[in-house]
Amino acid sequence: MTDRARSVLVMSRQRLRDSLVGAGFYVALSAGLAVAFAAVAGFTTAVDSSGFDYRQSPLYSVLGGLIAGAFGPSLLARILAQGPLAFALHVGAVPVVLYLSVSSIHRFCAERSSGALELYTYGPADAMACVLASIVKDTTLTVVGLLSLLLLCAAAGAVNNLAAPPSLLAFAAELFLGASCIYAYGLLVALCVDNGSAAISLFIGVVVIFVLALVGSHAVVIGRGVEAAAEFAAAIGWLSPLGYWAIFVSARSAADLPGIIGGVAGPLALAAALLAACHLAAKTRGVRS
Amino acid sequence: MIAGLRRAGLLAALGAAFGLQWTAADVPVHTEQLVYSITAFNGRDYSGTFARQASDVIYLLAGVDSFLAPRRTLVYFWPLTGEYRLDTDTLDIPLPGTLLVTGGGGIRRFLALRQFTFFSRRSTYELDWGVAEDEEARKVYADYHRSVDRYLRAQADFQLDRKRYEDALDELTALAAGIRRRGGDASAVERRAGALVEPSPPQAPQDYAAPPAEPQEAFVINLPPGSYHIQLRNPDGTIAEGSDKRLVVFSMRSPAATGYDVVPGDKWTRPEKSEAPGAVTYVNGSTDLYLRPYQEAEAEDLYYRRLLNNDGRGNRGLLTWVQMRQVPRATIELVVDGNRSTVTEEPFKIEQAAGSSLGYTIRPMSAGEEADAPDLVAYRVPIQPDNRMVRVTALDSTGVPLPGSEREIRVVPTRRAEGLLALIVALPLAAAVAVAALRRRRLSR
Repeated sequence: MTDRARSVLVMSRQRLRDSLVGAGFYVALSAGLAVAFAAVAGFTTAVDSSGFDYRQSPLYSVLGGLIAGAFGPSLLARILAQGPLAFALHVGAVPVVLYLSVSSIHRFCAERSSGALELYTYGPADAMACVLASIVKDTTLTVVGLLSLLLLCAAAGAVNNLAAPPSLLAFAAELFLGASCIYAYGLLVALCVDNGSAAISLFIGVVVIFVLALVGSHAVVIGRGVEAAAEFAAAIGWLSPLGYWAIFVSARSAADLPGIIGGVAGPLALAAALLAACHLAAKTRGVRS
Repeated sequence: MIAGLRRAGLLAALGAAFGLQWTAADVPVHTEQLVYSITAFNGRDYSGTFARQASDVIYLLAGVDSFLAPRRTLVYFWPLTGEYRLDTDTLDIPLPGTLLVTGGGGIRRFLALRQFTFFSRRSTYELDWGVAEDEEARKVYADYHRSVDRYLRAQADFQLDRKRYEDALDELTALAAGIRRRGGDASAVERRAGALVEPSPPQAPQDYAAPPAEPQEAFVINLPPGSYHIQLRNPDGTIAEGSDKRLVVFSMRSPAATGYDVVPGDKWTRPEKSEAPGAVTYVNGSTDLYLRPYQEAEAEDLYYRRLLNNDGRGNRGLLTWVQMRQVPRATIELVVDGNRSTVTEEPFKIEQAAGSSLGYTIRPMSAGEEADAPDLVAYRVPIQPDNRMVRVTALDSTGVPLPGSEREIRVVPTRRAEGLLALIVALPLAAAVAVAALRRRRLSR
């Protein structure tokens, strides 16, 4: 094992321990599970003699109205074609991924400004080992989060007689890949910006841009803004984990193998490219702000 | 007093002015434009829409005849429905000329205006659309017109015959009554009355579910999938201003699949659809379901919605299911909680609940009702609240499963153990509390 690999292992173990000792991750996971539970409960209350009618659930009438208005009725029908579990998995993952990325950015910036990162580099670790350790910690906790969400989905399926779609595990894997890219973006931002609050703001801005691009590329609303967003989405699609997620989801529903491969290989390549960018940023900007 | 009158007059003038303004605002602005009237085949039947001047693209299905008719007319926006409309009553000038179609792998065609009509012949299930062009269109329309004329003449003859019959019957009835009043024997007259033959009404033409309309002139478009440009050339060879459009010709995705109309027994006027193969229909099990399988195919959501309505909104990144035609002579295989059975298509009558209570009863047609038209023809799938899952597969007339026809119907229980789910949600918080307690204990030692 190389020095860097050993340092990554030790540091990631330390970071994992720190995360599991604090309350933040548990609260975020509970929030994610609560959101997923609400998605399932809202669905089951809206089932009547003729099927699922989203107007019968307060949660889904708001969500359904928004989705149908912005993306058309076809998307809503596709999201819930096999039931609410895939939707619950996705919405439940959002608080976990956001918490992990924001907390990592915050910690990385704090370590950088306090000199802790510099201290690591006096030993066998370098800045890249710190980045990788942070990614390993985040992805490990993401696996924990996704497994918890899958457990909730399985229990919800058993209790409510809901179908567990065969794509649920594939969606979890794609979510994991997308989340890895998001964490890499977060660390790149943390390396480029000295101030923690500014880094978190910039990171949220980047995520919002990806969300807007995804919305713009699928919106049915006609207007200059949406047309521009669609063109922007096409231009930055290869930079966005959400873009690859959209490719993967549509390719799976159409059983389009090249699309599925693209949806899996894309975030892997993006994560690798972002880590390379992190390496460059760490080299050029140093470990001390 | 005078000041008061002045104030009142001023207010009245202001009111009148505003009133006039409001009245003017109620009339939408009409603009004269070159529009293409579009009669497009949509996979199931023909739908009409139009491309106004601001619309750059016309969407049509590949491999079938669709019709474009350029005309100069008035276009206005109708805010109540949020859509553009044509005012053809005020101005409607069909434009002559030829249509130049270019693109799509070197295609360059000049199309001439042709007469066309479309119609639907009566079939077992639904519409069976046909198109006739030029001489055939005129012949189809003339034949239909003749059959309608024949029917109207026969109807007039029937009315006369009926009148004669009723008059003769009245006369003989009065004669028989007079004879009986005088104490005579009216049996001979009654026999004559009984021998009168009641005329039967003529049958209306039955050939068409949607009869052919009077032939209209349009450019017939039937192209392979691709992107094209169209341009109207005036008879003098110049280009008609505003006639340049892009033409997107698309095809449905293959292979086709099978969708279902899902009619709940208690809300038969609100059928749901089960479109995606493998989709799950969740119900509460309070009523039986009635299924109608149909063939369907996928099309680009944006293209298809703009084929139906050129100003429509669609999702460019999604496919949508398009209902095409009902599956003929199918059977449906059911697996209810592991027990296999088949159901066939049945005619049903629907009876509204008597009294002030709302609701319907769907019942099979009884032996004496064969002459009546059924209210619903469907496959009955019995659902009980204690069923967990019903698997549905449509089989064709030879018993082979239809592609993409597998569905699940799941009954969501009304009493659910949601406490278990709440427990899972709370587990991480409990873990956080436990970890904090352990740490405190360790630190206090």
